[in-house]
Amino acid sequence: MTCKAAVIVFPGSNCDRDCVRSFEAVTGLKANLVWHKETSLPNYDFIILPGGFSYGDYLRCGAIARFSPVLSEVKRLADRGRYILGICNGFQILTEARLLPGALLRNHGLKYLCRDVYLRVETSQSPFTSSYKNGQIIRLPISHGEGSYSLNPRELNTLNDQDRVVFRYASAGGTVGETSSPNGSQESIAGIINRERNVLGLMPHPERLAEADLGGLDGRPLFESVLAALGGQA
Amino acid sequence: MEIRYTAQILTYGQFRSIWNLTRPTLSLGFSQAVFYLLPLTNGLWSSGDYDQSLGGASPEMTEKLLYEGKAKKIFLTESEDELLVFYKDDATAFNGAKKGQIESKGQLNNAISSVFFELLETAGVRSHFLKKTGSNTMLVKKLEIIPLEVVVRNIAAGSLSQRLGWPEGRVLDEPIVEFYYKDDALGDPLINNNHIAALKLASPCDLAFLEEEAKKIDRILSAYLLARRVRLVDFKLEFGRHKGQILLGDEISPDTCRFWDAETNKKLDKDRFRQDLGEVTEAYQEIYNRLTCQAVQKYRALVKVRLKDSVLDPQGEAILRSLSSLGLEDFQSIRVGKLIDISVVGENEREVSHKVKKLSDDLLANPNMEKYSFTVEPVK
Ligand SMILES: Nc1ncnc2c1ncn2[C@@H]1O[C@H](COP(=O)(O)OP(=O)(O)O)[C@@H](O)[C@H]1O
Ligand SMILES: [Mg+2]
Repeated sequence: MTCKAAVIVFPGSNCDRDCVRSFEAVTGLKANLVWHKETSLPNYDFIILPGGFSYGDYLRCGAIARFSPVLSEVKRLADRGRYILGICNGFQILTEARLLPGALLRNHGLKYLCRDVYLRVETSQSPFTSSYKNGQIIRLPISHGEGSYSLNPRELNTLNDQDRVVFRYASAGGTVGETSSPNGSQESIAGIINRERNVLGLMPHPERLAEADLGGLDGRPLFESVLAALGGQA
Repeated sequence: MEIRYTAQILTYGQFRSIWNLTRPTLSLGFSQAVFYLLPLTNGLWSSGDYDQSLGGASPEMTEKLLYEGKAKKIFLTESEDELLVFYKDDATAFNGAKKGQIESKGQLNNAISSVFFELLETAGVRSHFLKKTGSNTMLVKKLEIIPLEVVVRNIAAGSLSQRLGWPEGRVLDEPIVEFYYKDDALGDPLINNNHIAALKLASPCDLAFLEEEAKKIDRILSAYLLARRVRLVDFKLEFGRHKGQILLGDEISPDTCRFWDAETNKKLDKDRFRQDLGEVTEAYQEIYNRLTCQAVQKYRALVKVRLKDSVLDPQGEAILRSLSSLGLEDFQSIRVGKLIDISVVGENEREVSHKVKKLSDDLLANPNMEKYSFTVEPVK
């Protein structure tokens, strides 16, 4: 199989190598680091916007990365149905670039949160979650200061109606409620997908728990799902 | 004798020297000297001679070359009172020690000088300028040039920096006017009013006029340029007599002025050639572009970005909570926003507001969660 993934490197990205490693380890496919100055990504079927602090996240997280040369190409590929995954800072960039609705605000507790959280997989109807079960509880690390997802009520309704909330923060027992969100996200939202279901953004880091040696495997099915969507086998 | 020598190749510099030599003895005026010398030289010029030297000049120039200087050629015209100035691409510096060509300089300097002369005309400064007649040519009144280079300086640079040991860029409290004796052979030395009197170049009254006129020109040009984000560092003028009046002559261009970008101090003049800074044509072109664009001014924009009322502001809440422990009870709500302080140039408040709004929409505020407001005011 010739499918390839691109992991975009912004000045300040710091999860780019983890993404390459996990993607390659899980899928057996090749992932390349691509500098944000690139204006064309013709040979890539899957694009990851990794975590980190693009451009120091001055002004707002992801606000300046949105004007990176590569972003217009990412938009173009998104329009053409390629799979785009934004993790953490990558999620923030996708919202700033209006590829996903809403915004990620300062954590309600004002603290930078770096710990494992439980998530409930809200839908397996996506190329990123087909290898999870609906309602499955998984554990992934978060590492952010601005992860409080915010969206106006009307659009929030649309998200729910269209089955586009992909992950919600949950308790270890799997309940989603007022207190399950570590950062104040509306309706405990941790990850969402676009209407065409090819662009996913999430705050937790699946690439950090995709190999047994790292203490967990709950990130693995995400990459397996993508592999399946690309027509390959794990 | 000297005059015979000029009949061979008469460059303006040579002509100048001869004039300077002959004038005291023959007590000739400049234009008289021209007439005196012309019969000797006329016969030697056939049209072929100067067509060649013009190199791609416009065909209207069937006039006789009167003399050729380092940057321009001066042609006689049908009219006794008028001359045609052709701006060359040739560039010299350090009194001719450094020679070269600056692509398109002739056209640009002709265009730039025309803009300046027209501007000065409307501001009440009389000059030799009649009209621009072609890409490289302008028609001017024939002057009896006063061999003085009148230099006005607003910021230390070049020879002033050397002479006084002042760093380039030091802003002068008041403009300084200097006179140089226009004489290539002597290297255009700096002279004072006593020298000028001794050389009988100008009467004290004329000299006072030159100084006042130079300062007036400085004020007009400086204001016009600053409105186009250019600092007028210093410049050289030449004046001459025409029918009993003293008129501004020669050229006003990046060859004869120092122009710096008002924001970056980037040099936009012949210093780029003198100092091998590159992008010489580009700098001259930039000056022309600035001159012909709308005046701009500096504005200060203050953009306030705040979270929408519907969005929780944890930072504001935290501050509010801490207030009660300080014994401050009357505060009902606190919301924290950003104040973005911007310096921006533009033509007018409306245009600047438009730009700031676009910036706010595109970048400064995220419409999903934030709202903004801003003010724009001119900076003095
Ligand atoms: N209106 C005018 N009438 C007569 N001479 C002029 C007039 N304007 C400028 N000049 C002279 O013509 C010369 C123009 O050519 P330029 O290349 O600048 O000569 P130079 O090498 O002597 O500086 C100048 O020296 C200037 O004194
Ligand atoms: Mg000259």
